[in-house]
Amino acid sequence: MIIQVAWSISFIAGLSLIALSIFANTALRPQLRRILLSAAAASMVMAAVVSVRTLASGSAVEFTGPWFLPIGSCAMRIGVSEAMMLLLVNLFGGLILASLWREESELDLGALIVLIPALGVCLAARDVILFLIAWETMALCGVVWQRGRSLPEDHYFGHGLWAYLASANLATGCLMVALPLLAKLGGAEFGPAGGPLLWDGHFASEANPVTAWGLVFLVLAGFGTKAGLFPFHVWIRTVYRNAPAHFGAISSGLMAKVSLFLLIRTLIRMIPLLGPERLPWLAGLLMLIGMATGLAGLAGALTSARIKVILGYSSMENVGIILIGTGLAFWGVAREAWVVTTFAFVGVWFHILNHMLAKTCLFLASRNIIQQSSTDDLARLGGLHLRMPVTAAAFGAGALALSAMVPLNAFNSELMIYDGLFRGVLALGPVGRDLAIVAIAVLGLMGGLAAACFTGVWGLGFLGNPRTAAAEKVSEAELSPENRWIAKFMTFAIIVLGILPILGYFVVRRAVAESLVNSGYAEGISRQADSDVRSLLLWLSLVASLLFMLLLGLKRWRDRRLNAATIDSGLTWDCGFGYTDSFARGQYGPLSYFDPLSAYVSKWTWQKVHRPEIREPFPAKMRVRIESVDGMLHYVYDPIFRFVGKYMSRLRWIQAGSIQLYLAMMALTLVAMLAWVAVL
Amino acid sequence: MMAEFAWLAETLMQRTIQMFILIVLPPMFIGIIVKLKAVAAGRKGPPIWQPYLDLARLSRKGVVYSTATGQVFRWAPLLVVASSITAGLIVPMAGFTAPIHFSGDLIVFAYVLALGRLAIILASLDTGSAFEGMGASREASFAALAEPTMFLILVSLGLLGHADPHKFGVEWSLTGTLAQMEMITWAHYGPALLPLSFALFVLILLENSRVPFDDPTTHLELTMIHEVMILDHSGPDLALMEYGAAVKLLVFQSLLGRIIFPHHFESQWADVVTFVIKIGVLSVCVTAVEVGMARLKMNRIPGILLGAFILAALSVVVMLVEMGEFRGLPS
Repeated sequence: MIIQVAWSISFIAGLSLIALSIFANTALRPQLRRILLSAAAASMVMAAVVSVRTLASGSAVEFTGPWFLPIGSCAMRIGVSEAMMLLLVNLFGGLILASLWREESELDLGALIVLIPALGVCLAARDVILFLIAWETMALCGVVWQRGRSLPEDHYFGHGLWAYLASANLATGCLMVALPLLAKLGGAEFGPAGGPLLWDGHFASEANPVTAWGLVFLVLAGFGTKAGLFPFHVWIRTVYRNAPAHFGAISSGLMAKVSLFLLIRTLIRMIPLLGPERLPWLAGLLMLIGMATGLAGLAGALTSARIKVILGYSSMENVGIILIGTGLAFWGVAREAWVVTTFAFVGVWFHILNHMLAKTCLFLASRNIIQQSSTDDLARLGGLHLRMPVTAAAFGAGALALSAMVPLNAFNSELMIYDGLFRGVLALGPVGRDLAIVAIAVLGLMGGLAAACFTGVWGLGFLGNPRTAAAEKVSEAELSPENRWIAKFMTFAIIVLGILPILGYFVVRRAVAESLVNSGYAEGISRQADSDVRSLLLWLSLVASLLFMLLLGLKRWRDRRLNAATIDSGLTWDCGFGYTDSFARGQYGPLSYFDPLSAYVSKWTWQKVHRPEIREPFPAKMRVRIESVDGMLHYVYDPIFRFVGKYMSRLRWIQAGSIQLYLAMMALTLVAMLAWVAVL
Repeated sequence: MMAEFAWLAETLMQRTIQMFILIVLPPMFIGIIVKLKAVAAGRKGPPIWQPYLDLARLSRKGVVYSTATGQVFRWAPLLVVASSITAGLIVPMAGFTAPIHFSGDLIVFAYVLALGRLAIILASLDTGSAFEGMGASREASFAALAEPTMFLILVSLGLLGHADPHKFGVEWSLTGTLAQMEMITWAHYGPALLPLSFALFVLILLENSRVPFDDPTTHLELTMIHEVMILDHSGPDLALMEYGAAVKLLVFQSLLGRIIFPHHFESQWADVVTFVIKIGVLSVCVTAVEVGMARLKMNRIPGILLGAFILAALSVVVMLVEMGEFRGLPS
């Protein structure tokens, strides 16, 4: 009941803020804004408290609200997995809201405040109609941030909106087919008279191959598009480049993770539908898609110089890691290797938590620098660590965490998946073993590429000298106190979860147990698996502590040495060029830094480098321009859409504006509907 | 009570020896390589303890920090040493079990070593130097391409650990595998261990910036990788960078040394002496490569790494065959 009240307050506050941004222009506007934002914040706290209570009790909460449509119902259920996600959504959503509190327009804030309960309903909805309404609300909220506010040099106005709308509609279209079908197969009875359309029923028997694999495709496309799954990820470059940085935090930190959660939960529910024969095929498919998603994400990141785009593609890489873990878990289910499945699920849920934290931190930090420097182009930044130390530390913590560096949070969850894969080599049978070995090598490659990518982003964007006057004039003092505190808090959280990963395990433990039970292992987390996971996490804490102690000891030794010696400062060594000032524009830029690796993927990302020709010894100022598009978009989607567009344009006569024609179409629709009712 | 005391004393002795090897000996092996290279070139060369003298000299000097640099540059040398030593504590040395060993430690080992590399890359980018940026770019790229090889080597080693559960235990751990290997292991798994050893040797050369991937003695910045990244370090910071590199080389050599000659002696002192000889021999191998060939062109390095990857993959496949994993498949 409390959660319904919380969501209602949030929803009303959000809509009121949107109305305020459009209609109200009174002197009371600041006060109204403050009241509405406070109400929304209070509702998020209420929702988080309910989530913690459900998570602690371990028992699911079911409730039904009022419903006014002939079909569907307001049936909801919050199990421990949903409670965990609700907690994370409200926690990180709250942090994003706090960071936008003073600066952003009421429209943006209203959209965010409507989005949070929409995500909650998406997680809790048992009914297809309720779910689809919440899903569409989520998608529509996203449109608000796609209204063309890219940076002046981007020339991307409007493109992001179209990419976002097209992908959101395709995803919803897939779900509109898949979910009613799942409800039907799960025993829901519905017809012309309406009624509830519950999609969380249990499947009594296996579906025929066409239905089963068709559903797998629709579910992957429907939920996977928002999550950024290969090959449905083509919106990422355009949308992340076009939207403001806080959209990145909302999209990557909240919406994509909820989609991913729903995808995994739906696939787990579908296990009986697929049957034991087809389950290894699904597991293999997920692992292969995971590897492709991770590598395609890194290919996109390594051929971009924009922080927002790189972070967007990095989300894709992490979705790939999570999907590899999910595939591994499913293979473990198929072979009844429950310890492997346990490690895989711990890795999956823990990585979702870690990635939400790190990516929210990264996007909010990049928002700070864009606010100050008006650019996210790595070729125009640099030297921010001396001018914005708190933001630089937050970005660094997030970047190093997502490079899987010890002792930061994301390493621990990746280690769980690695450990599951290593265990899987001997437990998953011939093909599973081979895929596990390939996945280990690919994960290693992904780790190396991610490290190269994030050292580039942090090193070029924040370290060294400022490359432009805009980067030189940035100042942390101009940021709001909330933003500084949020950056500090998130840095702290990344380090704490890195050193004490057992805390993260406590958060995800019940969700892991529920996933295991839903996968067919009634015991949940076995004592042996629980002991193995705890032991590994405690060893990690020991290694992290040792590392810190060594660092502090070495620092003490060096400080003592330097106390007795001279400490000078000067320009960076110039290799004999005789600089008189720091040679800021001579620093390595993103094109040069990523060049050794981007050369391997430039064909896939259709990267084109436009270099002006140098014809004289002392040429005038020139600029190198680089263009990249997503390979999937260029090679697959673009030709298909052009082909379809070419033939669909022949149907334009339908929209000719003739009233008689429209009346005829309405009459035909009416006849068709009457015929349908008569047949049913 | 006496037995427990004896066990404690022996463990303490083993740990002390191991820490001595890990912390004190690394510069000596760098000295051996430098000396051997000089002798091979017809020069007398510095004494093998010269690196100790260099480290002592550097640690007494002052430092010059670039105005562009910040805390990243200050902490990087500390991280390089701390990560190398932590990684060293996961590797069994001189026939003893590693001080830190647990199921999954081999993955932690790879990532702890990567931490040191990341620190150097970031410190070099912090200087704002084009040359150091170039080195950072090369280091990050080649390291990324080498990661799959590293992990396949670890898979192969892990499989070896599970080849005979009665003998090796069931941990996915470096100690679980290496500390219990014997020479007879080569008789059973030689066809898998041979390509693995070659692949690991190539990785040692790459990870420690040796010829043919990099030249630690070059004076031309455009041809450097590791050395160009530490151009701006001075005094105790440079000493730490050099020392961290020496520890890292020893850690990798210990790993390979244990694989190629896994014999245990009755006496632990004999094991220690054998260990020092093994590392010495591997240092000679590194020197032989440096004397025998020139540094490769940068664009040929990925090709060599691909070769190492194929060797590591071959090792995994052969290991699986040796373990009987392919038994029962239709022929």
